[in-house]
Amino acid sequence: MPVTAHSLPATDTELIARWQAGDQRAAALLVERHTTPLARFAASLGVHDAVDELVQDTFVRAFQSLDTFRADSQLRTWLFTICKRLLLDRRRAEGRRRDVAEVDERDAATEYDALDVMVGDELAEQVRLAVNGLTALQREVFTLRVNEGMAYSEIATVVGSTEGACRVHYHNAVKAIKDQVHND
Amino acid sequence: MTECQTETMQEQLPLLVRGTLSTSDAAVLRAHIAACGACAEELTLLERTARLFDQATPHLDTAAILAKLPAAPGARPALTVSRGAGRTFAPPRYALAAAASLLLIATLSVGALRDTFFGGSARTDNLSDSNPTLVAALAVGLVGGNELGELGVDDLEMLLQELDQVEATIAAEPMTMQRPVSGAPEGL
Repeated sequence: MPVTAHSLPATDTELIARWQAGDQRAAALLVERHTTPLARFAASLGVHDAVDELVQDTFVRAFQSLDTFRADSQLRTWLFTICKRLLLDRRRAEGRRRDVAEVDERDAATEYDALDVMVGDELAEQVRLAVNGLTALQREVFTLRVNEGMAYSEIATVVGSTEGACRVHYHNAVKAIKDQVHND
Repeated sequence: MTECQTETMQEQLPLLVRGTLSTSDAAVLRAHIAACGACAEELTLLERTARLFDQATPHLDTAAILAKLPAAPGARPALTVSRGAGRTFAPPRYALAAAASLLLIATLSVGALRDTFFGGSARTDNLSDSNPTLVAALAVGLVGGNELGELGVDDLEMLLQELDQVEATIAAEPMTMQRPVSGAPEGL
């Protein structure tokens, strides 16, 4: 059967336009599409508690300012950027509450175990240890590339770096994981 | 393990993990992996890593997220009236009053037409007994000349329920043809 334009899933840009024209179902499709990647991103940043709250706040913030979203950029990148900003705000607030020094952005995820999961075999355990041993920035770049298949240009936007630097961080992360696996 | 000499292929390995490559690009890459031990090993590590992150990702309830989102800019708000702290939307009284008036006029018109052409059985004769709020609304809004919007929300809700009952009663009555009353045109 030939593939027609009607059988293709609507793009994010089309769904945003439909929502802005009053179609609430378009919001449901957007949320359905981006919830799991956002939750995965939050988990990769070391968020264990209240992932749902963080993802929900991300969507609320995004929908409240969708009119400022530029159609030439990707919604996914924008959502991830909002999510990360909210997480940093939350950690700063937590830091202030604990009366400790402000958390530096680059160290934001280092105090958390990004892969605190039960593993089924030795290779998986080695991978888990290797990923947790990466620097926060390496891990962020690596997980955005591996988990979401993002282009380096997108990753650079989310982590606030350059495309070239992200490429280097990714290769260093892969090398570190390979070294960990081979050394054990 | 020797390094892969085709950097562009190795670069695309993460895209193969999440299936974001086109079918043709994926086929080319898989052919390369079949002949490249370094890429095959790296792909295994990446797939294992992606699986671990999937395991660490909680499943979220999208309905709960949707409930918190603002309404679409051009959407008509849903007509839901709830009491107490959980009130989400209170329809303006004038809108309720206008809706009630229209429904009332339509209902009475249908009853009058039936009286005229099919005899008097369709109309609800004992209106005041069965629909006290409806009669009260008639008194303040249509007969007395006051604003129907003066009614409280509870009264308006009751009024709408009673109008629904009247409408349902009329709809449930059989549309049997009777002898035309005197003065009505023949053939109806």
